[in-house]
Amino acid sequence: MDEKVIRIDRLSIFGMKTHASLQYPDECCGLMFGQRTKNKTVKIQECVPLNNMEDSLQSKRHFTVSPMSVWSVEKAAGKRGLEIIGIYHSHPDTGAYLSKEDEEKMIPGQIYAVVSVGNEGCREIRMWEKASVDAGIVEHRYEGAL
Amino acid sequence: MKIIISATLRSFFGRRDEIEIKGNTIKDILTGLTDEYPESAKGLYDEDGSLRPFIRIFVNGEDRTGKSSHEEGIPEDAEILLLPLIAGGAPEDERKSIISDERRKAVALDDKEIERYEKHLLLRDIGVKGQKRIKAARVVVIGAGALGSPVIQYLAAAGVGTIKVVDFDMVAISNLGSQVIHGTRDIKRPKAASAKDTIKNINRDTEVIAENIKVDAQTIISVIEGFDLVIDCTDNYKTRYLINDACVLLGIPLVFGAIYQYEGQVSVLAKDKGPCLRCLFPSPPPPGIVPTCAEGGTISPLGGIIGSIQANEALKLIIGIGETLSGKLLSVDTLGLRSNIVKVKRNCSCPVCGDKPAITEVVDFDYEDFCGLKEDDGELPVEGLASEELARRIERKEPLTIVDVREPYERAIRRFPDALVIPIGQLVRRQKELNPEIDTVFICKEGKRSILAINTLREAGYKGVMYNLKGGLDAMRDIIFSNEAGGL
Repeated sequence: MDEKVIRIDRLSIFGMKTHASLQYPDECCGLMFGQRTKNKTVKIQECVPLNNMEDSLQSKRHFTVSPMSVWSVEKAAGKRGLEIIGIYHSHPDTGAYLSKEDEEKMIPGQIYAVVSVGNEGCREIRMWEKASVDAGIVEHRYEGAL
Repeated sequence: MKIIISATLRSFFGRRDEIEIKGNTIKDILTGLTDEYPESAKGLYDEDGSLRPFIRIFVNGEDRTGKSSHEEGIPEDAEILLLPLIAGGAPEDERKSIISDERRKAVALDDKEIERYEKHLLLRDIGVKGQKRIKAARVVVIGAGALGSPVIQYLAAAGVGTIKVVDFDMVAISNLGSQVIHGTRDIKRPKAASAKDTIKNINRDTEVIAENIKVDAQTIISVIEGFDLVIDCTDNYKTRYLINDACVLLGIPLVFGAIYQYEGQVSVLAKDKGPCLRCLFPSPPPPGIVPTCAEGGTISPLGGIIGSIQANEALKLIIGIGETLSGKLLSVDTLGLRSNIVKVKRNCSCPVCGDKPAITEVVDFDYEDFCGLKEDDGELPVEGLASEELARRIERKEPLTIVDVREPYERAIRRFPDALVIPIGQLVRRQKELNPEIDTVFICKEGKRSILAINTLREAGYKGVMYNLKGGLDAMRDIIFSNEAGGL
């Protein structure tokens, strides 16, 4: 797969980081919206926090989002011309990389952003994508844009 | 019936957001979808034919993904949604330390240690728990050379409780350029003993086991058994494969490191069913093709760079933090200052860590043969010439052609007088320069590439008498010619 150029709005980065810090030490998760343009550029313009359905025992290490809430957020964003680009979630006290569980449950074609977060705040954000069911997972580079 | 598809799943259905399907059960719908979009079957189902974990089917806001309700009828006006189940988790397994909690709890840090390891204790992810794990750890370092030097010193400084240093070699003056654990006073001492002294100087509390033995199929098991981690700091393929196999068989993780000229590699092998050296490199290159460190040389700080990364990986495994190089190979090029990581998968048909391993004991495997160190029966043996014999024939001025097959930069270090210079790659093309009537001696640094040279020429059809200088120029060092060292 060709490498994509991801341009992410600075407010969205801020939103993801804030969400991850507020939720710490639990995992947070949310959706990223924006636009896919033809020249392989992906713009991320909005981040929408979602509730982690896992109970308090599980929420430090796992996250699950109710499919119906994904649908309602996706519908509302669609009306404003925004397309779903992918999913972000946090890794409290661990690095920004995909866990085995993340890899297994990855939806092809969606960009997965992982925010590494600790007591001191956010450490790093990295993004990956599995282009299709058979494809390998590729890390994408991204740049902040206002 | 109208199926509404979430944008996250539209790539399976030609980016359609709605699809009309005939039928009135979920089973009908799923069959209809895959009939109309055959490509979508791969997206919807896994290899076993069950729906992928991220697929959810909602009917009027109710989750109907479970197979039990697939045959139930659905009202005509129902809202049918194909939605994603978004889920994941933080890495858990990778965080597990190779030192168990029981062993951690069995050790304590005294006031002196708390002062000594202050910089570690300040790191939240290490702290007292991590430092206790380091203290409880038992690590074997095989090879106290360029890589072993930083590995051993950093592990001792970090507070690893027990370090075993294994090396059969003696310290030579040519080692001091890169093997910073030894000093001038250690020349001709066993490397293991010299390393032990350095460790004791850094950290008196470290328990050091210095073993001055050669690691082979008979000794390897007793060398590493009962230890938590093995660090491979050796310089040859035979020992690397041997260590790898023993680690896989005993279930001990291995931190692999290798250096050559300006480049180095690091990986964590045999960890939790991760790949091993044989998955990474199924077989070694033929002998003579790649010079060893001793032949090819290395830039002085390279061992420090790669060895320090090995020590860091070792500590990460012991403490149970971060992303290790298990399943990955890091390559570092110090000339271009570039590095990259490639993923490595376990090979399910690997002879040692695969599903049906052929190697179940190291003593049964012929490492000499595997690494091409044995003379092949099919090939004509190469006639060797001892260094003394060559010197005698030169002194007697017997007709003799001497061919130096080394590379130009090697000749710059030590020239061999009156030798015909043909680097190995040009031999076949330039064989006309040789006179088949005259005995020809091939020389290189260690006497291995010259064997390759002779075999190459033989294959190319050269008929003259060819000798290999045994032990190469290294063996010629102590020969003194009557005419003022003969220019050597």
